[in-house]
Amino acid sequence: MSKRALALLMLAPVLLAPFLLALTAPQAIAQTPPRTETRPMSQTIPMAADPAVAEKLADYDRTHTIEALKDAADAAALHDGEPTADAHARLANWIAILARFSRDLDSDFDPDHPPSMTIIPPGKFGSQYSPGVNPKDVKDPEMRAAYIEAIEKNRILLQNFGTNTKLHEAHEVILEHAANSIADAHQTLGLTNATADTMLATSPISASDRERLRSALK
Amino acid sequence: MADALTDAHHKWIADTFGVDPTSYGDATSGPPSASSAGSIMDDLRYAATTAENFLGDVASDVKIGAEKLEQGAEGLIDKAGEKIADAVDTVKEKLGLETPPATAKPIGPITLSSQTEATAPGNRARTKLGVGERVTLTVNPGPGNWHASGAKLSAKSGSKITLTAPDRPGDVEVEVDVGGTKKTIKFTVIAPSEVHQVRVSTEHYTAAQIGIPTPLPNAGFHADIYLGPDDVNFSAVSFLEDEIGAKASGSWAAKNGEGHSPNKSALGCTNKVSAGLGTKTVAQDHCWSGYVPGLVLTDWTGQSTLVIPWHWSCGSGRGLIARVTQSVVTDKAGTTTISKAGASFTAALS
Repeated sequence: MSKRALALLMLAPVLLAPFLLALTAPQAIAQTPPRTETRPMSQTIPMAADPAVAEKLADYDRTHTIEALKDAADAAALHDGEPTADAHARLANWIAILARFSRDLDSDFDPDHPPSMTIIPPGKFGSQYSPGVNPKDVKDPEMRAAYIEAIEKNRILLQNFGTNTKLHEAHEVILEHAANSIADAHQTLGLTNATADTMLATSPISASDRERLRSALK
Repeated sequence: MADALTDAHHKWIADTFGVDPTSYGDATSGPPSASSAGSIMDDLRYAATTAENFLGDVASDVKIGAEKLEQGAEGLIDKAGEKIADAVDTVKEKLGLETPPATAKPIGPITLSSQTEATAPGNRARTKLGVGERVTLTVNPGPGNWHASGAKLSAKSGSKITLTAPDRPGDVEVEVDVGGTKKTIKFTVIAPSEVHQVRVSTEHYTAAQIGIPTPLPNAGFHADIYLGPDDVNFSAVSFLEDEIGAKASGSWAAKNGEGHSPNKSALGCTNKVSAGLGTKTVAQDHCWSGYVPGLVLTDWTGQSTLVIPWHWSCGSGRGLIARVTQSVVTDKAGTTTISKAGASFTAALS
């Protein structure tokens, strides 16, 4: 063995440490902590045909992270434009994704009325303070306690508003991808209106989403 | 040509990577793939040296300031991680663990197009992105094998994939290979550097409305918040104001040192972008002067100012957007003007 090879062999543990870490735990870097909250899941929510899409949807059903839904849509659109894909499976994938929105979107959500990022202390004279005043600067103990409670409520309000906003926006984006992908399936893979109508008619997606996909076939 | 590998090398590779290099062919004379197993060692050493040099280069660029130092260090780790990940991919390919699928040689030229996921700003073919922004990349005819430096791809092969811009500003280059024909596209990624507000409602309370005998200066407004510039989309960005104390004088002197203790959790952005402003956030700002109970003056001149650092975050990236001044200025007659990030409201004493 040459000196060069011997030196490399001796240095191997040092050189390889970061590679080993990356090889053994490639997911650890990119993962975000899953949300602990869970939502009830309908028994009729459809499964995706493509295992890659199904895996991402299972991830979404477990964590409810918007990224997982977007990842599922990425996987569903991966073979757009390729003549060898399965048109029936593609439509099934999009139906499975859009069914999650139908299940999880809050129909009462009003994106035009966002909450304030800070509030004033509650009570008749709470308005003497600026919104976001530090609780320690609120002299009245009762007002201070009520203010701390109100801050926490507003934090949850902001969080829910943010989550709903992201879900609505993801729906718009993914619906656009779905329509393009279905149009491609029609043109490239010969997906017929009759087949699509049959699948869509029984799908648990919203009427507007169903119509959007149908119009993509025209 | 690298030195021939011995059994000790084989054992080391097998122990380290969990594979038998001899199963990929005769390593001493070259495996079935294009490179020899000996060159794997060179690749490893080169990758390690590159990462080490890179660390040194970036460390010298770290700017003053605790936040920049922290971010520099975190960015350094991220970028070093990317280098290592690239090297790992290279090693996997050399070992045949992750060989890109063969793609058909295209007939005629190939086109590589990009379309931002966000519909705003209007130019969806733009190559300037906000941190964390997503872009659909399409190669036609496809499929192709994809590689990106400095960004995440949804898949390494396919016809239509999604690129997610990095968490920090920088440059990104993506290459697609269709049967040996290659195309590249470059992106520039930026972080928010501006805060703008647009007033949506105003506030002023008379003495009667407050329930006090004599009027007190006060003014306020609610405003939509935007993070600029307006030529990218910052929907992947969250923001947070810092805790800061007011500097007040004159009729507002009682507010001096009063803490501005904002929401503890970072708030997100929508995917809406307005020209001249930037990306709209998911929350409004409530700018309100408050008032000083019991004050009776003939000269109401006074001022209260908060200079609030606003920070952005996106994944592991974060930094200072700007220092935003919120000021309340009252003249002798008690007329009060409150302003912040381009929005303002003036109310007379009543």
